[in-house]
Amino acid sequence: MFYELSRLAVGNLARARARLVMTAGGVLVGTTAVILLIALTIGLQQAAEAGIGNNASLTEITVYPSWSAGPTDENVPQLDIAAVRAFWQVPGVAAVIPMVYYQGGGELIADDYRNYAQIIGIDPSLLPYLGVGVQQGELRLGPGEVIFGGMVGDYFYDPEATEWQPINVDLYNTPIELRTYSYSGTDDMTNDLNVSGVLNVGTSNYDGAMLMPIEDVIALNEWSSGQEFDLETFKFDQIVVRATSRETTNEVSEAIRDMGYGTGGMGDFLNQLNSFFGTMRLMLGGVGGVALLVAAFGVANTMTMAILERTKEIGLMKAIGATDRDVLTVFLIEAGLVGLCGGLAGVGLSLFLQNVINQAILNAPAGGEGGIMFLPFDPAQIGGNLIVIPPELSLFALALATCVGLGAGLFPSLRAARLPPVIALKSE
Amino acid sequence: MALQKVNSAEITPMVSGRNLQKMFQLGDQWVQALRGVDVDIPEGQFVCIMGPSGSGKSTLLYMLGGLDRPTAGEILIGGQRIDSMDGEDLARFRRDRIGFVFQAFHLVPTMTALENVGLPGVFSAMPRDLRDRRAMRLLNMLGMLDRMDHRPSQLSGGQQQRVAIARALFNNPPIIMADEPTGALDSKTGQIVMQMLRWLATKRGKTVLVVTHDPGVASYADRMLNLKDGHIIEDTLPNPEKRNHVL
Ligand SMILES: Nc1ncnc2c1ncn2[C@@H]1O[C@H](COP(=O)(O)OP(=O)(O)O)[C@@H](O)[C@H]1O
Ligand SMILES: [Mg+2]
Repeated sequence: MFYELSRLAVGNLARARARLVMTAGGVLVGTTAVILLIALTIGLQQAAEAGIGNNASLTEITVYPSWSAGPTDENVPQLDIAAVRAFWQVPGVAAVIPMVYYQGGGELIADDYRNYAQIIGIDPSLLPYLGVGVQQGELRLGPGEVIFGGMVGDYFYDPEATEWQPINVDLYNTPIELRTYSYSGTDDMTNDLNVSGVLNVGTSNYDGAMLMPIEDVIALNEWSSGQEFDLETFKFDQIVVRATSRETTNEVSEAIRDMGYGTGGMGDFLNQLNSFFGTMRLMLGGVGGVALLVAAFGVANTMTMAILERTKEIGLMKAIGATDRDVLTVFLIEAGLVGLCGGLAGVGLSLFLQNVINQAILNAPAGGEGGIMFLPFDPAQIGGNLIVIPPELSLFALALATCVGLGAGLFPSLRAARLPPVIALKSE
Repeated sequence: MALQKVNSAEITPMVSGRNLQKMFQLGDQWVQALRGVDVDIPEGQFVCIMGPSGSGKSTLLYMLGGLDRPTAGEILIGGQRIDSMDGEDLARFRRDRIGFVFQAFHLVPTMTALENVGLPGVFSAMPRDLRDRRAMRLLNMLGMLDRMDHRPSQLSGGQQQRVAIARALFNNPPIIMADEPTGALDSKTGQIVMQMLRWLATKRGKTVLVVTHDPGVASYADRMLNLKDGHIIEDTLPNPEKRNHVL
């Protein structure tokens, strides 16, 4: 039944092409406005996120003691082993990565050159959760092995030189020694380093650091300070919590704050950013929505006209056995199809304009001078994708356009359906 | 078929109206279009409803066909009360039992003759190919097969009315109701249309009700109802030999 009525509606539309084109045209403009404005916010958001850092940093939460009660307060929760155990219990946590920093002094030696690096000890089995990748070697920390941050090799210097002149050292292929100083009276210690890998540049916190197995750093600290390590009273220098996904990051953050700690990380910033772009999307989408609303009046008007024009046809349909619901169905399908056609054309036009605009931006002169000044970023950096139309947006727009058609057609269709057949047949 | 006795008491009539009244509101005034009509029409009878303009002919026809409801009175079609049916049942009833033909043809201008004839099948969810085949058969029966792809605007009035008759026959209803079917036609094409309706009664056993104010048209009928001011003032059987003269 529905199929036959749909075919009737499709036939009616196909036979009144001029009217279809005019009405759908309004929906086309509205849909295109909605899509492009929302796509712009998506493009800007992606550009902004690209500026923040990689995906890994968005699920990373840095935990620190919350000093709001004052640094001397005994009851401030500390980054101890109890905290580590507690964090593991928080839903949405993929890993809890406690870190120990080397507290003593030291330097790196490559032939005649020197450099410093923060030594960070972590549990080697938690390396995959650190959100880092290697440019050389492997992401692996066997006993006695180290992984260098991506920029450590760039800033070696010659201690004999009279001018500051950074020297590049290939950390992976050059023999490197670590000299550490003891404050407890023993002599300096020099060890050959077993370099298992060098991290990619840009992995934020570790660019100027070197990673070692946590036991090795603890041992270094014991040696340097002369104090024995006690796990139960030890306070970690940093705890990084990795959430399972961007969506859970916020909840994990909140749960940890509820336990009395302070949290930081890109995830929190991202939430603000998301809510900013969410607001922006609503506003711009609303502007497009107004265009669509205007189109809806067009559809309503056309449907009303069509029904006035076709009053006799409605009477006839009823005389030959159409129920009110049949008539309603036919006219609603027609209205929905007008919306859908306009929506499809709008999606097509939007995809076309997406290409045109993005291409234009890609080809625009880079940088501030003479370029497009209102962009808060370098277009080249985002590959020219100022307008981003995900498939979901297209589907959403199609559904919206169809609903606009249906909504606009509802009242005229109801009126058509309720017309008494005799009145309809007698109308002039 | 033997001519039935008027208001036969022994046989259930095909169409039957009891004390039919209809009021219309015109502004703050009430118009009484029907003032108590009683009528029984047996199956297969060709009935002609005559009377001056405004006498209530169309109103009576539409009411008997379930297109409108009486203000008071009962309507029985094949023994079934239709005046108390709900809208949906009434639509289904019209679809299955009544074929309407109108003075203005009421063909859908954007559809071909074939599509117009098959339109009732849409509302009974008949598949397209079945619809087309049946529509073709009916167009062929009325000598219109060669025009099946024409739109109404490409057809003469007589041809349009034949398409409309084919459409009325689509669901094979036992009753055909025509409101001034020749009113928009010249007398020669009008005669052809009336012959077809007569033929449907005689050869296909349809009960046919035709509203007209053309006395020439009335000569095709088995029975004539004369309406005036919402009353039947005359109910006659024209010469039984005469009614078959077209065959
Ligand atoms: N929908 C209506 N509203 C108001 N008055 C109507 C309506 N339909 C018919 N009438 C009135 O009812 C009377 C009978 O009308 P009708 O049955 O059309 O007459 P006929 O077909 O015999 O010319 C007329 O006076 C007409 O004005
Ligand atoms: Mg009339």
